[in-house]
Amino acid sequence: MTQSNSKEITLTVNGKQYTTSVEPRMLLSDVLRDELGLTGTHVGCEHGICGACTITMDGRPVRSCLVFGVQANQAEIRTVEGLAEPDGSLHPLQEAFWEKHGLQCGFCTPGVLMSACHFLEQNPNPSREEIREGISGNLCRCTGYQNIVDAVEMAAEMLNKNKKSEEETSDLEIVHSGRKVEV
Amino acid sequence: MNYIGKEIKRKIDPRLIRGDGRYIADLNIPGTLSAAFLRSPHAHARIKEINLEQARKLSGVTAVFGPGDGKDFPFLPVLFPHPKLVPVTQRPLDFIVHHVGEPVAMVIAENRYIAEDALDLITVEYEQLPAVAHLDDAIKEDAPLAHQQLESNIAAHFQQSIGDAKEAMKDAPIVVNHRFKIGRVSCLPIETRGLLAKWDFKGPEPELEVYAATQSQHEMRSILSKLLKTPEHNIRVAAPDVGGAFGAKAIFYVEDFLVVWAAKQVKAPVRWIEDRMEHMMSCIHEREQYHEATLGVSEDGKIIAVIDKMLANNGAYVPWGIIVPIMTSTLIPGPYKVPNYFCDAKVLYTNTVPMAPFRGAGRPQAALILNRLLDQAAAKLNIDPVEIRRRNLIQENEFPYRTGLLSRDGSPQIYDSGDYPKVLDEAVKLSDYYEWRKKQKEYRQNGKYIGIGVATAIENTGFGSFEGATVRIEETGEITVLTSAATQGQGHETTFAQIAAEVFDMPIEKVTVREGDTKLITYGTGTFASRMGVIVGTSVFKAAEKIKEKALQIAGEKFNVKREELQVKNGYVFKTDEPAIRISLGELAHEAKGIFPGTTYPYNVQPGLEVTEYFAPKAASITGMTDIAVVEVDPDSCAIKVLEYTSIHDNGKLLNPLVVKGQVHGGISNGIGNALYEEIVYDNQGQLLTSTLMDYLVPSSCEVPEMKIGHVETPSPLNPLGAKGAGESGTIPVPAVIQSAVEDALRAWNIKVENIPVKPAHLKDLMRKAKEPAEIIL
Repeated sequence: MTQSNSKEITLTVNGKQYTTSVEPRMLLSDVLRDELGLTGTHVGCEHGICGACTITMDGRPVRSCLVFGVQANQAEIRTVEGLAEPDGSLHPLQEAFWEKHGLQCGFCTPGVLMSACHFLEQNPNPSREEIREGISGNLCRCTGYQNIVDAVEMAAEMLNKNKKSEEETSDLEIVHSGRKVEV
Repeated sequence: MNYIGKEIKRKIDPRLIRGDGRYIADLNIPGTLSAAFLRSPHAHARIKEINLEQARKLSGVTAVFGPGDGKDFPFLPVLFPHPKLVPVTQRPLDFIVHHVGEPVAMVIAENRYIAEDALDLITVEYEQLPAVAHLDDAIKEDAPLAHQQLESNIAAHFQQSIGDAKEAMKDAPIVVNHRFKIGRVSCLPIETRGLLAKWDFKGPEPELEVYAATQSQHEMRSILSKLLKTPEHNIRVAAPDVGGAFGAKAIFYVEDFLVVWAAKQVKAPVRWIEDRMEHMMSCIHEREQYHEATLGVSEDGKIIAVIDKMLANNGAYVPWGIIVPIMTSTLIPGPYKVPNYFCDAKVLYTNTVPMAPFRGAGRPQAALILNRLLDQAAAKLNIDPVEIRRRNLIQENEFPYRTGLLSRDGSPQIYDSGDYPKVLDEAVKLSDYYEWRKKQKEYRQNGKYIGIGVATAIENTGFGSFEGATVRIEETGEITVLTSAATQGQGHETTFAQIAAEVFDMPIEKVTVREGDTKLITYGTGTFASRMGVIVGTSVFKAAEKIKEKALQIAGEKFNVKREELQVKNGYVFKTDEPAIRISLGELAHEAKGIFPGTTYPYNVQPGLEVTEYFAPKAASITGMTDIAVVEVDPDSCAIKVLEYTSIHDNGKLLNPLVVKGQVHGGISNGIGNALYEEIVYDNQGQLLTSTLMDYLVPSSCEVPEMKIGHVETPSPLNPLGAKGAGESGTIPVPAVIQSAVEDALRAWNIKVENIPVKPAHLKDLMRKAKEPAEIIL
């Protein structure tokens, strides 16, 4: 790639800031994979159908093969590598995909996980049909989707349970600190 | 059994769900260059002139190769010769191209962007030659020739026969016909093909390392060895993580040769990652066949004779011979008793992408023929479609069952075991079949058109010739299993670990399975034909048993007790009636190497706790299945909705039901694509009209229905595990069951659905031509 044509971009990926110089034509999927070494995001069709390269950009899911790297300048990006906790513990979606055999070859999985993650933020209590709709932008050739739907269903329950216990914990704290006592 | 047959979560998953997989495109080998191919826009043409100079001058380009560089290249080998086959295989960078998408030139550059820039700078002058793409054109007397040097487009013409079908048909009281026009599909793994080749010139001889998205690293090594005239010990082929394959990656392609060859020329690692358009226009296709079939039955619906005339498209070359049409022709009788059968098959060359096995491999076509003929006969005799099947199925007590045909390897076709009536009954039960038949009438009264389809089919799985496994006890006490398999999502690392864990009665966490690498084990064949569980599984079992015996013998000698007094559990060998006398497997592994170097080896067995076993099955294990689908067809738009889908499989003894069920789910979803959505379309000049996923419809989560899966376990007597293959059986009955259900839904129009995929536009056409809908006939 000729340096002269390149443009410097700064982007935050999974909480870490990167500055890199890329050609304006370079796809975001290639920037992530080849420039930043984040190969968890996979490329399956490069024309926006298969969804394997799905990431979230400023909180919204996008196909990184349909975005140029330069368009992601100053953006906040999350990829599959950013799903697990820094201590390595798995995200409930990852747990559920493992538990329910929601993946086989694993190539589409990072994209499915990112779509599902955003979907559950929008719709924490989805029906099976809504889950199917929610992940319909991600093609999977191995699983027939059924176990993926099971996994997303299970993850929704886990996330809701976590949320509830977090709320309960914070309730207790409020009482404990005595700052919010009704008279 | 503590491990075999248990639903155990997969060991591979934590890595893949974190995005830590190592697919070919992820490998980071410094200095790796990128390859890109210029591909023919014509279906049949001679390259008159090609100018590579401008491309070579582009900054960042290392090398550009064209037909002039390939004058001495060998033809790809004929892997599956057949006495009736006139084989034409592909030659890399030939001056004549035989299908759209065939490589014409190759660029090696710093990265893919520059490589593709360089492709744009190559100019080619083609002399177009007459091309042929469609079956009905290729069979014509005056058809253009797909290969100019041949006398006709017929690659092979062969027959299969049981009894005297023509004579028997004359006496059949009921005779029905059906035609089939089965479209072409792509395997379409979500990871496309890919290859990284790296030569090392610093050793005593040049050594080659190839990382490939392949289903069969050993076959690839063997072919590379022949083509490059380099002994196999100087070639390593590894398949790290592979993102699905389904047949696409079992083939050796010209690109595989070219990338390896180019890496040698430029003396740097070279990687090629196929893009999706390349996949559609150069990676194998399958399924395309036309059939005209006739069935004769007795008054009570018993099969008397089946006659089938088949035309099979094989595309421009025969990378896997004529395996697919042979498979179809030998499996049309399937699970049914067919006393008289005749099939005449013509396999044709056309200027299209070559055909080779895609998941199912000729069997979904076979399952269509007789199941759909039985539908016609049932309608004529006014028998329920389930009932006519029941009357014709091979019974449990008739195994081993000789069909009277020869298998694809020329040996008599014998079904080892099964219980087809039970599989059918379970499907009827799980699907609420008779309940749906009642509901069908109610729906009709409410103006809704519901159809129910049923199909019973078989798959011959676990073909030879062989596979192997090495089992080793490590000094850490862990078990290492090295196999000749390659995994593309089938969960081998878990199921094979379960087998070893069962033998040693120890947790699977202590068992590590490695595969997909020629350096692990000397010989192997590959992951295809639903054979890994059966053949590799058995190899693992046999090797583990053998090494366990050796461990027991060493322990027996050490403790001076008889082998019968010892047992193995949780990593220890101990005396059954005195468990305090024990030694860990890890210590035994150390003992097996002698106490320390320089001492005399004290045991009466050879040193080392490692053994390699190869298993060559005597015949195929036969998997059986019955599917039942309920569909609704909107008579105005002809939109088809699958309301319910049930599938019962007999995959023999299940090694891991979680994994097998996943395989069945995936197979059915491929079948749904095949039956309703997917079709590779060429125009009659061989131009590809479906080169993107916008034209080629892969079913999403909204199209694949919820599936009800059940299992019947009839152990195979052909292997000690009782296993039968499970990788492909899901795909096989789906086109038959969907076509049947759609026709059933539209029974009032009295149309015959002959196409696969079944598409609304085609149905609309048939309905328009049909008479007004009749009164409710159910």
